[in-house]
Amino acid sequence: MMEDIGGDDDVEIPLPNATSNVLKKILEYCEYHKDELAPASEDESDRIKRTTDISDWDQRFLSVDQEMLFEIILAANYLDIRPLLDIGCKTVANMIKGKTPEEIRRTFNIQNDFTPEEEDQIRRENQWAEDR
Amino acid sequence: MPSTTRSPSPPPAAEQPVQKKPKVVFRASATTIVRPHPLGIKPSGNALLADATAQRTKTLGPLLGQLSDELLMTIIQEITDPKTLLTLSHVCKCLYGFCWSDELWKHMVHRYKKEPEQWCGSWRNTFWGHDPVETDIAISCKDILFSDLLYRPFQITQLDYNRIVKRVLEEEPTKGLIPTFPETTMTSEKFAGEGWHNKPFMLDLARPAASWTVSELVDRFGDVIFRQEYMDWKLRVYNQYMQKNQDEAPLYLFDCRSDAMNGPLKTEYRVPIPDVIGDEGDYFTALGDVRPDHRWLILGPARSGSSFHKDPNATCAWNSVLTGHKYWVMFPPTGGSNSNSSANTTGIPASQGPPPGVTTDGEESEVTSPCSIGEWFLSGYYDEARQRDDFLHGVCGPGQTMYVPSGWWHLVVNLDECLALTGNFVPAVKLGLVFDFLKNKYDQISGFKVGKVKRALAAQQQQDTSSLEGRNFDKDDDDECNNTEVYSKIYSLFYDKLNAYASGKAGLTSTTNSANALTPEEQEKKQRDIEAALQELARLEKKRTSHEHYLNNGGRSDEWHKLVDTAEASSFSFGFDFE
Repeated sequence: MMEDIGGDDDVEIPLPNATSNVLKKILEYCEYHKDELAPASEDESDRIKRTTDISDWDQRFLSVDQEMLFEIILAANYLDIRPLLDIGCKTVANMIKGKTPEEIRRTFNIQNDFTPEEEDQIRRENQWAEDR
Repeated sequence: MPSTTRSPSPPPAAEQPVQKKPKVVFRASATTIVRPHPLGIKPSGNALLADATAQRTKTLGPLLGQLSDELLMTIIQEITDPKTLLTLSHVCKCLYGFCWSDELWKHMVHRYKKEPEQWCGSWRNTFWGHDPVETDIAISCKDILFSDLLYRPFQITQLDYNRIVKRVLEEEPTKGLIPTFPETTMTSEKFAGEGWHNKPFMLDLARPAASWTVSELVDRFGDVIFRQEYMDWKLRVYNQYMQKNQDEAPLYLFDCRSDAMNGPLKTEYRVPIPDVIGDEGDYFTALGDVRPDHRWLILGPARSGSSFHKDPNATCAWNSVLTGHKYWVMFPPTGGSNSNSSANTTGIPASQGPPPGVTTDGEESEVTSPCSIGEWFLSGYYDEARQRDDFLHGVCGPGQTMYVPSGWWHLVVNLDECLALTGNFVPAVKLGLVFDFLKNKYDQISGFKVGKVKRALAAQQQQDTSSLEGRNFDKDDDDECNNTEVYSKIYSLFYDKLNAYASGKAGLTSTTNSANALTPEEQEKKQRDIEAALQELARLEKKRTSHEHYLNNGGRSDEWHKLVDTAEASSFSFGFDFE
């Protein structure tokens, strides 16, 4: 990112929509991980193969309320902090795992907008997983 | 009867005022697509015309709704469990649209269901073994989901390359067209002497490379496992896949190790290029069993193909269509010694750099082709390519062979279901380039099996208690070379084997066995070829050294420095000479 803007140390990087609370968290993360090597760029298949483990420290770090978690993800994406973005997305994926559609709706405050006919289709699709 | 409205018939041609018609320039990127997305997903821009229900936060809730399409997809890609992915799709229409993305299910099939017994029309259905039934209805995301990320892959599946290529050839029938010759007229004089080795051409074959058809192969080898990119499937299942899939870049069968290609098929084809070029003249034969895989059966549906690349290890290639048609786009070599160096009389256009949309580093050890074939055509790179003077293209049909010279960039796309054979080879005139590649760019070598190379190296240095001895060579036999130490020795290994080959001492395990007994004349010719290749290697190395020297001098030639030195020296003596 510094390279993209010319590498000057005194250039201001605008952070629209990032509150000071979020920025504090991001700095805390970067401070803790500052000595680790940046992961080499990886292709899609590597990404899929990679372990889904999140370290203990990272888990504790991301034990925040949902609003904060999503703000961290947005800021990590904007600031291109790949490892933080990765664990943020994994944490959300883990929140989805093991829940029913209704539980997921409640977790993320989503309205069910399927028509009755579509609900029938959904029920039939659910059967696929049951039959396995 | 329904009434039809007819426009008034135009006046006879003679009466028409003479108008200078503006030149029509067909743009593939402006191709319009009429068919709607199966779920009613529309491009992002359409959200501007839709009402407020399109607001993501309204349909996806405040948390997920604030994410961009890419970010939401990144999260969904973290889901590795198929049941969870299916459940998430059942939360709301919008998430259904995202989770319906077939790339996600392709990964699931690859991960959990390596060899499906049946293809069911999509990766999603195939994963669950669900053969579509009449009661299935599509979930409608119409006026809810506007996303380029989800729409674009569908748009690419609707590309009709046949139509695009036809339009382009109608508009500019000769520009950049790859020439075609009867097979029998491509002699070694024409190939090596007149410089055609440096330029792509097609051959009309005297007889086809093989008489196979897809249905015949499916009948004979339906239950045999063939390799499709990173999937190993029965040919019967791949044939089902070819008939119906919705992939942006369809899976492509590229096989050389199946029981069919390694078995009965091996003796049922001929190398579809004159012997003087492609078989007798193939110097990689000297590598024996160390040689990388070099002959493949290729099969794929319309739109499948290979995005821009160069063939490995500076080899040349032949590619012969048995059934169907391939569209080729080619650009001359770029970068370093691979560029057209030898004098020739065939008028190769000077390279104007890598193909549009492709970036490389100086040495071309890193090549980035950021997009799929479809994206390349649809996003304007093809239109840009056609404007260039070094653009070459052509359609290769049944009974024809394309020759791909060493180092040429090529993109190939199937215009219809296409069965073909391809092979890599090293003709005498390209031996110098291959020497240079193996010796000086060994970090870019590919395809060699590390175990086999190590064994050959050990045999080469039997007297020497080298560090390679005593290791277990079999363990990593199937790995591709991943070892710089081994890479760096392939050149000398090849050179030694080549000399043994040319002096008739070769312990060859060639498939043709023709090399077993070289006549003295043949040996002499081989030795002359090697000598000429060494000279070419020296020339290439010298050229590169002087280029590096030039760069080290800040991009200024020695002549420039001489001039400056002289000028400085003279002005110094002139200005400060107190004598």
